Amino acid sequence: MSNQPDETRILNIPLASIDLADTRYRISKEEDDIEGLALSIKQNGLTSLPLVRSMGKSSHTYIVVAGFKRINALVHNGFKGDVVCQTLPEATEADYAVHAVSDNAFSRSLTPAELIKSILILTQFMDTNLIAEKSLSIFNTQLNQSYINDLQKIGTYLPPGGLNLMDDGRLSIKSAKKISGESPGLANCFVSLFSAMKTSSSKQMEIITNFLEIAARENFSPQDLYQDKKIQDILVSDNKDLGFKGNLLRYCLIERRFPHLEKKRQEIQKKINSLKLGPGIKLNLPDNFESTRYSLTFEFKNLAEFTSRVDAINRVSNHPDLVEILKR
Amino acid sequence: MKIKRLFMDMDLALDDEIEYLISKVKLTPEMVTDSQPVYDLINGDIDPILAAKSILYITRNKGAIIRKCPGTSHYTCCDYTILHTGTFCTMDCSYCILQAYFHPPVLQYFAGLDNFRLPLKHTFAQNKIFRIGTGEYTDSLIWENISQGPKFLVNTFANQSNSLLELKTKTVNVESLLDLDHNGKTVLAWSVNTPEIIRSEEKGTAALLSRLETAKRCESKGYKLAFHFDPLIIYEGCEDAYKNVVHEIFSHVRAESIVWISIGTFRFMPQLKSIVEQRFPSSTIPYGEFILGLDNKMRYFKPLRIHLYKTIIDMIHEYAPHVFVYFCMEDEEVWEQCIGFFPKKEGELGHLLDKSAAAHCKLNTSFL
Repeated sequence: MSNQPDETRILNIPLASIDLADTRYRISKEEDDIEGLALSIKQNGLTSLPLVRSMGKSSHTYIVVAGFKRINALVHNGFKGDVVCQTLPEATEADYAVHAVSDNAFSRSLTPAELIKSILILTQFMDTNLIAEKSLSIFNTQLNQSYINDLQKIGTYLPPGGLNLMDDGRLSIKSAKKISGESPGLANCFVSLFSAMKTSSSKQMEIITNFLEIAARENFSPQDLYQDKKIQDILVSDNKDLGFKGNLLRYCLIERRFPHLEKKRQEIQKKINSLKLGPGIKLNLPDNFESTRYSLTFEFKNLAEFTSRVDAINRVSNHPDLVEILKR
Repeated sequence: MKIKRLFMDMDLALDDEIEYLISKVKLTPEMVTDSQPVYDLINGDIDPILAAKSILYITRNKGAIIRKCPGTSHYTCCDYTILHTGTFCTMDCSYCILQAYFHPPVLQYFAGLDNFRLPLKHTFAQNKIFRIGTGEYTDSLIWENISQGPKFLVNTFANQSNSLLELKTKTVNVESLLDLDHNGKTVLAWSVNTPEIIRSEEKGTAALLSRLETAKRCESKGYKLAFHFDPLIIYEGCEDAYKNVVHEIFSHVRAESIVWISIGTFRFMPQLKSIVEQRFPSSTIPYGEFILGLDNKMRYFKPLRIHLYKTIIDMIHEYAPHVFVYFCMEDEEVWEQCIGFFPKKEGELGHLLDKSAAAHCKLNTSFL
């Protein structure tokens, strides 16, 4: 990076001289809808100048460093003339990379995908330690090196589509990191899997872990497990509720990962239901049936409710299913 | 695993014990003023646990030489006493808890046999039975062929009447012990597992039949024996495989020679899982049907444990109805369902083991 890269020069550049196909500095996602921005520029002009970089004196071509949406909005407006842009004649490629990131990072919070793209751009010019050192001035927030390494790994190995899932909140950074460490084929399976559902970060990790462990337990590849009919039925079902599909898949995997425990849990739940304890009374099972300690809790608002709950408890004390539950 | 580097505390005197050890290791010791260079060397390796297995550190035990086994909460403990002779192990079992227990693990040999004399003398002078073992933080016999330690302990225990020495191992290193006058006070014990598990999970250990052949040799020299089915690993076909281990034991040794048999399924601190995954990527043992136990260790779902325990105990009792079988770290429900009773009172299991020890090893029964 140069020592004084910030001597800005304002230029009028023919729109046709800006190579819009070169998106090496692009961090933000390509927006389908730029109507609003286009209208604003039409009415008010460019209030913030795009930053461009010359591709050499002989070529007379420029590429966009920051301001892709603004330039695209001009194209959308059918603009044909010169665009007022800024450029940094003394800047190096690394300086431009920093500008590309900071232009976005200081105007809003970067999405996970943008953060990852930023890291990939910057790591072409500096190591992750230096990025961490300079992160406050580049990203408007402090990033540690290990986190930057994780983002670089995700950016390098996460299959196409994964970054969009991250921006949609369907793939956490932790899950993306885990997936990125798997083989390309398996990483693709996971991206497809999470494309079909929505679930919390901790449940994503649970799904990934159970998926891998089931395959290891049953001695076949995780890709083969992905093709399993029961799993595919859930993933391709017509149900539009992605959260529901996430829960279905999660329970399907839990049942398969912990078959005896889940079978027992379901059997006992059936027996508890048959007790018909009524509202306000709950029979609590020992965690994972390891301890032999059960508990019963009940709520009441007045004496009548208290008496009714006690009667209900007395009624089930000889119920054969309660005997069965406690017999273990 | 072969020792590649040998470190030694500078303030240790070169006595017979250490000279013998060095002559057997055939390495020149690198003198250190404290343990830091050893820790630094191990921590600097890409796999500190594996590296630690080939770096022997001769040092002095700076803590208690004799201590009570820590046991675990909520599960019944056998009130064992630990004689602290060293730490870590040269063998490489995937499930070994020492990988997660020490940070990092260091292969320490506690030199100074004289240091054992006083605490042992104090122990031998008490009016109670002690079951003392060296196999808690290391394998009891990994150094047998390069150290005078095991021989010293067998001889020392031979001349008293209230303590039993249990040397627990997965090796066949008994040569220096065979002709000793042990006076029945030393029990040679083997951890046993199925041949499949030994092959896949117990790298560098002796094969099952080698262990049992060695046990037979020791029995012929009058040693009492013990076997530890620990950790039992649940896998497809494991019931028959463990039954076969029982069959092999009783094909090699007489039931009367066995002081006790302990059994315990694989249990582990949760942090061990990632270590096994990293160091033994082909191992599937972390993927059993584990739940978090009451002591915050992972354990197999209880009905699975009970099923395997019953299978093995029934088989043991077919061969040896009177041999004492006990659980290492199990609860009342498991005891009741598998053995039909539960040593409920504090110290009751220990007392039962003391009785078996006294009966087999001719300890002073008036201390019971």
